[in-house]
Amino acid sequence: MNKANMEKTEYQNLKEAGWRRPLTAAERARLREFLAAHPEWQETWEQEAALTGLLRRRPGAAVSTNFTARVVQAAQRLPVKPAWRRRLEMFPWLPAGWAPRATLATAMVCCGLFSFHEYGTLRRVQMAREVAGIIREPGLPSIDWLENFDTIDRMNKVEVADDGLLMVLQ
Amino acid sequence: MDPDAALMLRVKDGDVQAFEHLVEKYKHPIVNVIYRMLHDLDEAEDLAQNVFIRVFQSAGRYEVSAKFSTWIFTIARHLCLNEIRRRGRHPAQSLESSQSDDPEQAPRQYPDGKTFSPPEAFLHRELEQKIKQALEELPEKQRLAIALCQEDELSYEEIARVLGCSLSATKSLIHRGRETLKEKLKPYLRSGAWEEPENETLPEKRC
Repeated sequence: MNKANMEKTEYQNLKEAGWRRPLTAAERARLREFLAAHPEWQETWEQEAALTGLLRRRPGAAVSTNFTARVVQAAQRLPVKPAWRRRLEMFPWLPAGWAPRATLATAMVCCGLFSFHEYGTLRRVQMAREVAGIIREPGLPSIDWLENFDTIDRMNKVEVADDGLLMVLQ
Repeated sequence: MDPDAALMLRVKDGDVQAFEHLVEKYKHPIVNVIYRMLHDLDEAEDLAQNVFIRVFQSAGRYEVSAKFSTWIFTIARHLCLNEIRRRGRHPAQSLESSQSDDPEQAPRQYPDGKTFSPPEAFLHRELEQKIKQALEELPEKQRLAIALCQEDELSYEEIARVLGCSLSATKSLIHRGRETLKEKLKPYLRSGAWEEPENETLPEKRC
């Protein structure tokens, strides 16, 4: 930052300080130094200071002497809120008024139902995809191969040979 | 911890005396800011009372997340803007306008501590009127920024938080507001008068 910019920033800081409070002796000295180096800013500063003076000179509002007592009394007269209301206040993000709250509750219920419905649909689609996948599997044997399954199965279960039958057959 | 936040935590536990301390401490700055926004003393007091009632009502869910002063001035800002909007919608119901027609309810008069000779008093009144008018013509946000800027309780960062703007935007609001005021009050800004006078406050009203 060059010197001119630094001086401008310094002037800006002094100006902003002057908006809020009277400048300290050190600040006034710095200001005089700045204005001596930059006389073109003299008029602007004088207007700033004059406006600050005008605004400060304005009388503040006079508050009634019994203001505090009145406020405390009014606060103590406030009705005690029912328990449900106090519990409701634990959720400050809830909108105020019954209509927005009812809308919010309805929206939440609708969201829940929709999510449940979507979940069911998704599960059914997934199951159908799995079944279709098994059916389309090329490595599985044809169903015709199982035509003599029962006979073959029964033959495997015969543990003792039927000698009578073998004799007749011979 | 911010001492006012500590008091507020006591209010949360039902300590009315702590609430009284807070009201006592903040009544002048809050009434002042509202008065500078609305230019109506009765309305400023009523609205300030509402601000403190809101604080009391919200004590149960108060969390120390920011400085108490920022919080209370933010409540005051909301109520002020609501009132300005309400007046905009129902200009006929403005207290100021109804009072001026009714001699029974004439605006309150307050003794001014400073004594002026008649011509001086006239000039003083005229100047006061001009400043009031110039301030009233400012956009709400600029007016509020300038009003908050006059309160010692708030730093620029806190004013920015109350206004809901960035720090640079806040300074820009104050700057633009002051530029407009300088333009409108040019004839009254005495050249070379940069000796800053003491801040004068009217004596308290007796009720």
